[in-house]
Amino acid sequence: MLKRIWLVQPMAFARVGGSSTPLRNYYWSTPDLSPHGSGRTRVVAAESLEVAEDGTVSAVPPPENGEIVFKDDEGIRPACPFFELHGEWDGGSGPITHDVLARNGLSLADVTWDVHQANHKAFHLTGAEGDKIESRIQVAGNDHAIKRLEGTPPAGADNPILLDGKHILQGRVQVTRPTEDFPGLRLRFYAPPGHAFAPSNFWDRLDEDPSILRDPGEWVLAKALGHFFGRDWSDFDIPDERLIVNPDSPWPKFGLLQFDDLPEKLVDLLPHLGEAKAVSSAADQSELLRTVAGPTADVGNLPPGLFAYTVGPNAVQDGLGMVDDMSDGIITCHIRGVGKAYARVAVSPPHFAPDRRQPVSLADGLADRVMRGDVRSPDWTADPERWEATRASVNDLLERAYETAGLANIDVWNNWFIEENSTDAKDPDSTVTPEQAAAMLWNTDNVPSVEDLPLTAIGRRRHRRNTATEFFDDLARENPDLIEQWIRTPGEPKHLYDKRMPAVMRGADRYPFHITRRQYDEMKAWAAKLNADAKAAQSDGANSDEND
Amino acid sequence: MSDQSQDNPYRIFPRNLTAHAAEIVRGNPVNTRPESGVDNSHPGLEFDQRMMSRAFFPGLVFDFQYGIGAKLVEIRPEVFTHPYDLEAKDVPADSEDAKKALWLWYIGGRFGGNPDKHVLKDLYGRDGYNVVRAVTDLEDDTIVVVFGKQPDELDMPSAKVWLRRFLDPKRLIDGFKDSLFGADDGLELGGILRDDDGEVQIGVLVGPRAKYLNEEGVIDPDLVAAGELTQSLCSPWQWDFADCGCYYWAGSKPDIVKPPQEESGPDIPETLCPSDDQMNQQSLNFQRDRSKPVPDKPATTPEAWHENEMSQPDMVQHWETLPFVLDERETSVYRPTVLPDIDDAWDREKVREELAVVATAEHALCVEYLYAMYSLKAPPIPAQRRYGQSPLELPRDLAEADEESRIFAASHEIFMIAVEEMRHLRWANEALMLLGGEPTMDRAEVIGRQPTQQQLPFKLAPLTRKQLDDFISVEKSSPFFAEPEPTSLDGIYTHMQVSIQKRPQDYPEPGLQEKLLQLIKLIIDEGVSHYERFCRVRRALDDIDEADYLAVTTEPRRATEEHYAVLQDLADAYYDTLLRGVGLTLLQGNASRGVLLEQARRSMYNLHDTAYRLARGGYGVLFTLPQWLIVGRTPDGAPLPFDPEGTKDALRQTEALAKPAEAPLAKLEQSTDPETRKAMEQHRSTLDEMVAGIRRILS
Repeated sequence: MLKRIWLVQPMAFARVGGSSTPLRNYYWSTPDLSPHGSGRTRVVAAESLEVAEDGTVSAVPPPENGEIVFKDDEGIRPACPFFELHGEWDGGSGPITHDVLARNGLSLADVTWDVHQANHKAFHLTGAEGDKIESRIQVAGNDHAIKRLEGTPPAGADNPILLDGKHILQGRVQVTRPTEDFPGLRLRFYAPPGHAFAPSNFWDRLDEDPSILRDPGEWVLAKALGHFFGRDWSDFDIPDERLIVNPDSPWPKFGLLQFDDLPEKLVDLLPHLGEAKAVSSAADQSELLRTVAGPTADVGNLPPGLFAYTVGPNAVQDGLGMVDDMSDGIITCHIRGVGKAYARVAVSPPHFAPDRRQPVSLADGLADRVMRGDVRSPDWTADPERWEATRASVNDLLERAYETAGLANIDVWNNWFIEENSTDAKDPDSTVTPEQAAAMLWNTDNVPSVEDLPLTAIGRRRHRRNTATEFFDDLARENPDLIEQWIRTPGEPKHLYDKRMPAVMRGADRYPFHITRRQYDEMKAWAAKLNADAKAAQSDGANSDEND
Repeated sequence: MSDQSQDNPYRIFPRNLTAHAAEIVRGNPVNTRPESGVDNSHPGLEFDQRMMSRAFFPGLVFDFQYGIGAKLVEIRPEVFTHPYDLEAKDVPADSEDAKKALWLWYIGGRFGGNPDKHVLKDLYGRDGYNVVRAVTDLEDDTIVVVFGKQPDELDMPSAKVWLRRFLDPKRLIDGFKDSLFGADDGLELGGILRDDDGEVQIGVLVGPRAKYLNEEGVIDPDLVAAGELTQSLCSPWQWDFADCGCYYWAGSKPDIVKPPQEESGPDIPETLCPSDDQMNQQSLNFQRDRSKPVPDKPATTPEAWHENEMSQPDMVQHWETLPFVLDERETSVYRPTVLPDIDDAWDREKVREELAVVATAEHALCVEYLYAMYSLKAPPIPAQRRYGQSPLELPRDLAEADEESRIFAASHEIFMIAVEEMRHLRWANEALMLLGGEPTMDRAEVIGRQPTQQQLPFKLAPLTRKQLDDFISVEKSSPFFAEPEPTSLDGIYTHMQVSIQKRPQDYPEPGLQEKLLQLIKLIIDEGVSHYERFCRVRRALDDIDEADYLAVTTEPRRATEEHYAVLQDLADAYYDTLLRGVGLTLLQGNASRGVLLEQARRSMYNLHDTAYRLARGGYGVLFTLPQWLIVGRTPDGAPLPFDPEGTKDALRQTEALAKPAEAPLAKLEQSTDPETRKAMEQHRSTLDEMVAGIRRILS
């Protein structure tokens, strides 16, 4: 009996691109330690799967020369993930195949795939039902044609966000045809091209933009703010077929900080000018907006202002009503009499540096939410196998840090956060002076170097060394408090940026970025065991000397 | 699948992944996996993980974008774990009015900072970002959530009774620790206080924190509906791609990159140094407006960096013109490098022999670089090189600096390179010991192998242009690593590296091959960086006369004045002590290597100070090789390793560590110059600390 089913991957990204050829398969492999190699993660071409129009799957071996094409003449190649159905049955588990179904008295006709995608970016800010863009499709297990996910506003909604009869292609799906070579049940999600869309009166809207009109006489305040916030739309173009947003829907009328409200807001701000001053740096534009809006204002998102806008004619950030073909959704596979399996898909931008990995990925974040306590157990490093696994995990984190640092202009970001620190320290409640706050980061005027980017060069070299396990082990033995001193403690209340790692990066809560608690606690467990072993070896050595 | 790096070609670590997330789906590129997504969502790129946190208490949904905290925006009774007296309509219809809304007051539970302790966090009135922070830090356990109107808006006489009864923090925490519903003292946990119109005023709910993922590892569809993971991202997405002010998306949005290969010169230039353009390879802003000329140098300030970037409208329209970036270089197609093969991969024994050779070469280079560095007419570099302690205020663009600043920057760079060479000495020895060899502290007579023009005899000399060019030649990558008998230092290392890669069977011990490859690769890569940095030093000193930047103009010569002669003896003594310290450290192995190194460095501080004192008199350190190291060579010129037993015994006589310095130090402590006497006090103190430290570690 088929007991339960599930989908892998539980979460996948479908990355947009304009090419009609899906991105071929590749994976991350061990660092390139060849003499003139990068010293970092390699990308390696792998076997790809192609799906024909009739749903038949075929394997495409990787090119002999190992080439991976990320972009071709048509555009960026989209990443189009497969979702495989797996299950558990009496006496076994694994991919669900035609045979497994048959043994359980089922067939493809008993299988239904449901894909529900939604873009709620506009709705999230306006609260208007009609501003949702959703697509939903059900596909029978024996229907292998490619299906389109045509995103539209909810039927019957007032002032729907798209013009009548228009839709946004949010992707396509195809249920593959099981064959002898590929007997499993699969669905492929084809990412959309990654387009933006605008209201049908878009050009009229831009004509109203004061920063384009350059007419300070009528829009004095807007002009001043335009200089601070404004963007230049003068060369912008968008195909007419993408001007499908309904100008009468709430979304094109959405704005933050209406000019009409500004005088009152500014009066309310007067007793809090110190706080406003503390968010006046270039890095704090979004916080300045929140401060002016007031503490109970609904600015929609953190940070606010995440939409295409002009300054004026009505608000500091007058939304232009643009949307895109991105979405996230839920894939459900239902087998009659058995149950449902779920997976999630997020339509995402391209991954422009494919050989680089994040120091804290979404996978790390999920592990921290659900498995944080694991690493605190003494068993985590208890036996040789688990100890080596812990070492590998710590080494991997250091490699990811190096990969990230290797693409950063650390000098610029250091100076960016120096300015933010010193401005933040102007807050009336600050316990440090702006000068002290600035000094918490590197003063690059005092870094004597022949490099054009001294901090960047030094940072990269340090991160590079850390990826050699012998070196980092020695560092931790040299300084048993290495982790506490040099890795930022997750969740600590300090909001000013300092030299601890990860350095000069912003976190999800606008505090200095930190690794997850789970990653941090694992590093501490690793350092503790390393030093305990060193101590034990030392006293063994001393005992051995005594016995000689 | 094993987590071990070498056995783990896919870089998948199952212990660190949630249910089913470790499984590889045939045909899926790795950039479809959550490992490729960025977690520091502000707001993120693939999705905003903070949207999950909105539902941290199943059935309640909060928004965090307020200056006074989090607002309750939705109630989903169908996902409550307990039948609370709440319905969807209890969220005030007009909650846009802050006074009518329900706000998060407290969360009680265990938090990651102190996971064994239950605390109650007061979150009302705190910025929403702080609420995000607190929610992220919640442990997976039972929690208490208290929400209500803005406290000033509570207008019920019974509210105070309620507050006293329910919201005494200690009672609340103690109570819910003991039981979920109904506590020993009769305190009933959980409840909703409504006014006469039935409107919720305060709510106290107790229950499990959200699991976030269901049993099959999927973000719970009951908790987070379709569209909610991406709803807080920018519309359109390309806008924020350009708009984001800070850098945190290395893998998704590179920051600083190299131009396409066809626009670059050869990786190994035919001239001694690359041209200025080639020197500034990785200096381009990935988001630059490609219709505009690139600046001569990369920016170091945010204003300059963001100048000439693609604007947000540009990005919306032209995002697909962005290239991909692999190995820091812009490209659209990845092509793996094909390495020339070698016919005669060295076996383990040969690798071990060559490691002994290169270790001595690293020692020689370190000392050559130090001598050259101390020959410069520059202010002393602080021994521990803490930034912010530079004696000079340096402009950001060295090209605009005066001569003194450029000389100082050059000296500092060479000092850093010398320190790195000392590390290479150590790493080469560590690799040697990993192969069962004995470490060597000997110093090569020739850098590389005799006898071709690519080798240079060991020579201490001031940093003349000729000497600097020789340094550059030594560090320059060899294009000939495939030659059967490599003679340059780089050639030896590269042949060694390829040999180890090609002969894994020679390194069966778990993890050994990987450790060796890492160490040797690190030395090779640092060598490349030494080459580039020496070229930059050359550029910095280019238009300065040697006579203007050199304080020491000769090769080592014995000082004729007694004061400087004694200083030379002292410097040699510290050199001896330093080598003993490093040697002793290596012999200790993993047990205490790092700790001993810290002690050994103290002799370096003293050597450093002494060298600067000598330079004032126009003298250099002699760097006389200590007698205990002159143990001879094998007939074919290979250095003899430490006499394992004899030298170990000698090294463990820790009183010998300070002995060579005793006599010269004593003389200088009697100097008529008060500054010298004061400095020698510091030397004495540092030396004593070092010896005491080493004795303590070894005892």
